[in-house]
Amino acid sequence: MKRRNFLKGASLAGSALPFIGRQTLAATKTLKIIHNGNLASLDPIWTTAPPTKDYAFLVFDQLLAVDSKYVPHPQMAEGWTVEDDGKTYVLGLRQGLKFHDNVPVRSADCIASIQRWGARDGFGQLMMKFVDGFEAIDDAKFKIKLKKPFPLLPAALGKSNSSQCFIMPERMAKVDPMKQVTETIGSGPYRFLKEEFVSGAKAAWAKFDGYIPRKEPVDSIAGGRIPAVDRIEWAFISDPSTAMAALVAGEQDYWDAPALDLVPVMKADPNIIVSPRNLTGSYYMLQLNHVQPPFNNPKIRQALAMAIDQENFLKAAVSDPTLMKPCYSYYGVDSPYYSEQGADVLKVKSLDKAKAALKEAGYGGEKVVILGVMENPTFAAMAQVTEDLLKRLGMNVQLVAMDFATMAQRRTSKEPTDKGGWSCFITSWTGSDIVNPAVHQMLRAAGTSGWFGWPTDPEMESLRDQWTNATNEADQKKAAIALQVEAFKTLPYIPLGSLIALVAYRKNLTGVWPCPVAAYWNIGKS
Amino acid sequence: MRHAALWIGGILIATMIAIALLSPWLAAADPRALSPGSRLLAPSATHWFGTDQLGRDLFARVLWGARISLFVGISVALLASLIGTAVGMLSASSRRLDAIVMRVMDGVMSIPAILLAIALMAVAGGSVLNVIVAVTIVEIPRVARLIRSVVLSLREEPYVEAAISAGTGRVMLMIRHLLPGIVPPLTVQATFIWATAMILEAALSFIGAGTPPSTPSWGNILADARALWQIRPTLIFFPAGFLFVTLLAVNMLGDGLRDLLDPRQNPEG
Amino acid sequence: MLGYVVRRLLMAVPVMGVVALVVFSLLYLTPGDPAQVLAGDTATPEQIAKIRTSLGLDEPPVARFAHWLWHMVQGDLGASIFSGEPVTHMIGQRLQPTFSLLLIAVVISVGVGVPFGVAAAARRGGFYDHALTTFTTLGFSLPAFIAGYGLAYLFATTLKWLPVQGFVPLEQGVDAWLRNLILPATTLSLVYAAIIARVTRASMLEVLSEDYIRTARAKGVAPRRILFRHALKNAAVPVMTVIGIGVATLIGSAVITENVFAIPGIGRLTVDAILHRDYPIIQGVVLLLSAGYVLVNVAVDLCYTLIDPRIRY
Repeated sequence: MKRRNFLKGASLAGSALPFIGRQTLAATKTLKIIHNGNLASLDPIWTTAPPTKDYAFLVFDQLLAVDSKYVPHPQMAEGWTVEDDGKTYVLGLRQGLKFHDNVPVRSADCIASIQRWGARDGFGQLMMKFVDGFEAIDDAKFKIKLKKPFPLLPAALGKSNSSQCFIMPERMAKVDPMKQVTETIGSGPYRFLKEEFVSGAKAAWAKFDGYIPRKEPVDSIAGGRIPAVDRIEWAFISDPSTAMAALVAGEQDYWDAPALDLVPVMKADPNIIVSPRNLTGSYYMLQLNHVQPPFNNPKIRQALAMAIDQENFLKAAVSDPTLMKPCYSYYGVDSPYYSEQGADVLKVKSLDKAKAALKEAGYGGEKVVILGVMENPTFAAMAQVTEDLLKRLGMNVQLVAMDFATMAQRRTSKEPTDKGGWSCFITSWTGSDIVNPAVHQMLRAAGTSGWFGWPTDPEMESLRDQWTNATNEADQKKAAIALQVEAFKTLPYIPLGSLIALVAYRKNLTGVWPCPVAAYWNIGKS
Repeated sequence: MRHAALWIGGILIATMIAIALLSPWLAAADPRALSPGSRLLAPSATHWFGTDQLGRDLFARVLWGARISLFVGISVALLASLIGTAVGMLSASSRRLDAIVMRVMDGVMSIPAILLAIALMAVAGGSVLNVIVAVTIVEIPRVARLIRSVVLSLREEPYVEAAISAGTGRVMLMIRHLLPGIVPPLTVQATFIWATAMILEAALSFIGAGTPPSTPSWGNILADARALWQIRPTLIFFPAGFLFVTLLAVNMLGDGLRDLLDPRQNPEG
Repeated sequence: MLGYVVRRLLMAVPVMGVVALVVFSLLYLTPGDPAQVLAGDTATPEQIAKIRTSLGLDEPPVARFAHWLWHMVQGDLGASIFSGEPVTHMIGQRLQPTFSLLLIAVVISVGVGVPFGVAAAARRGGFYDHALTTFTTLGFSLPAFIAGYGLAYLFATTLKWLPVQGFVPLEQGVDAWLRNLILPATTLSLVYAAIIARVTRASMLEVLSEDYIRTARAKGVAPRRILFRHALKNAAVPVMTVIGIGVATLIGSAVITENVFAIPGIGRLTVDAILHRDYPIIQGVVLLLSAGYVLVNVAVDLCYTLIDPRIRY
């Protein structure tokens, strides 16, 4: 211990020398967070990448926010009223809301922000189809006029999955949605310290003293967003062993996405708490290419589904059985539409039956190309399980290893597999991304204009429209479940189950609450 | 024992090569057989080295991995040595050529191996061949520089000057008089390249641009193990151990060869 | 000699130009569209096309290269596709960490390697000689990331003497700066010190068998003086060559070390940029690297003249 004291003493001496050290900010409470991914883009409507989403939740605020039951509540808004048989929404802003440059938030800012968000986000685009126009009544009140009633409007404005509707100053919101915003001024609980930002290395925020949090307790992203520390710092540590060592040593306070295999080591440390914060988990999917053989044949897709045992895929990623949750549904377990109706094909889990079905479907040895992204260990593991399964099924399969950028380009190809095409790949979304037919990007069947894979099923699309136009909850539920039953016939993708996402943090943090996004307000340090 | 390093190194290398060639018979399990339910198991009677994160038998993977890793190491060392020697000799043969070639070598050195490997991988899919090509290209300038400096200094030697004045042709000069002087430093460098190539293969696997994941190589076993060694240290211990022994043997062999071939350091003189 | 330096530097220019061209072509041929990656999972093909246009990615490659060259000679390396920040700014932010790491690594490697090599050569077959063989082989055979994990586990996690990861800029205190660099620099030095030690030993052995050394010994010159004043100076040329070549190796292994110890240096920047196809950054970094190699090699060649008066340019 002598050596440690010597080094400590030396460092104290060093920091005392005024021309070398900087002033130590004595009682500043800093929350230090480990992030695995790089904060590349500062524009929340541009990317659904977690770091950008987390950044946006700190810097910006939302008009409305949903709670853990996905019920929207006012956030920046005082409240809202519905007039004109559901065709007009009037929203009023709370008093005293300011942006980080101390300029008050006005209706014009909100309207411009909603329009920009509605240009890029799926749920937003859906909403904008119903919108007839916006009108600012005064600086603190504005109207949204609709062509037809759209009871999902508050849910859209307050949604928790990306891309969320954040309120920006009008000048930022007027930036072309096809260009990224470069300013970082919002009205959220923390302001971004751009001068300290080193992309890919570190980022920092300071508490915004002008923030007025709501009084209600936190419930998912709803409730009071109280900034409970003075500073937040992110360190980008991509090596899981190093990240864990840093957390254990106390150099960092919170690990946003710990490697699940290292959890037992951290659980054994009395100073560290490991718990699921995002109760909705990560849902894994095997996306199929519907425009090329062999998966353009619905019977072959069904045969494949018969062979799949979700547990094999999940077990490839984690050893702890409490972290795996098979999910025989196209919605997440916390969705109001979660059910196992129609999912029988996924419960067959028999290689023999699948082989027979494959033969009957007329599989003729067409090549299956799996796009395997190796950077993400979970995806890499599941891709290898897929390759192994298809081989045992007797299919002609090739797993092509690549990095994400190559995959992102290759999956746009609609060509046959021998011309640079693809047959399937593994992807994942969070529970809040698959909670209802509006946000669920992959529960679509609009053919070649849809997401990669391009499933086509007019019945699915019409059921989705039924859900969108439904005027009461019962009709919504009926349509949503019918959509799922039809989906299990068409199989736009094959659900692979879910893994609980855990976070790890030091014992001295307070106020960590269950939330589907990595929200850092309310969290303090004792 | 005379030439102890040579003997020990040689025997170890021969053993490793034997293991590599005999791996299908030495390891009962299939190195690619997945069994997610039995992932990350400790060594036991059924799995002598335990299992990896997909339930594959580590003993089989390490033994089969010898094939790929040794193949990569030897191929890169041979190719880089051959091409690098040719380039280095070419460069040393004329002053004008020297200037150009050496600057080109500077240029080649500045292209990161990772970029080359990813480009190749993205174009042709991840494969062992890509790794070999990418690592070889990166190692050539080193060999070229070394050979060039050796040739330049050898040229000053009296026996070479004598040969030149006797009218020996350039090619004959290179082969009969320069080559013997080149071989000692080249072998040392080649063994070093062998070692570097095996390690670089692991580094490329780290970022996913190395050998394909189902193909076992010491490099990608190690890369996979980086997040897991704290719960299952055997995942790093065994492949690293084999890698270490191989590299040790390669280095000893190189040392032994150099001592053998260098007349001045041979006490028999 | 000034003429030599100027000539070398001038010749470097077309080389760097060729390197830039090769990298540009490599990137052009490599699949992977940064617009795709940037636009994210939910963008439509039309949106992606618009993004490509706004980034200038759908211009013909020759035009793009020409634009880049034209801006580059004016000192403008363009902006990152992902963050929009100027490439020069981003590289600038990363220079200090990587330089610091390399500097300490070189200091440790030369400081340990050269004396070790000299001691080993001084008495062939002696203790230091055998120790050198063992430790250098260890150094060569241990991949950087394993050594890194091992050192971090021992000195940071278990003994708690040093921090696990991170980089502290020099302005924030020399002690903190050094403390964060010791483990990563040591990791880097393992191979480098091994090479330097071996080459020093080999070169010294060569020189020590020369006639003039035997003469000095016969004249009764003190052994230490022989070693340092006569032998080392003459043995230095290959050692310097290796130090120069070694810098190249260092930059390559720095990538892994920066990753393991979470140091925000050029290595990490490059790998991330390559994986995302952030072309301006990749081109900028490669340009920087090639300039760096040229400078280092010129410096090494100049050092030759300082050490060996027979070498003249």
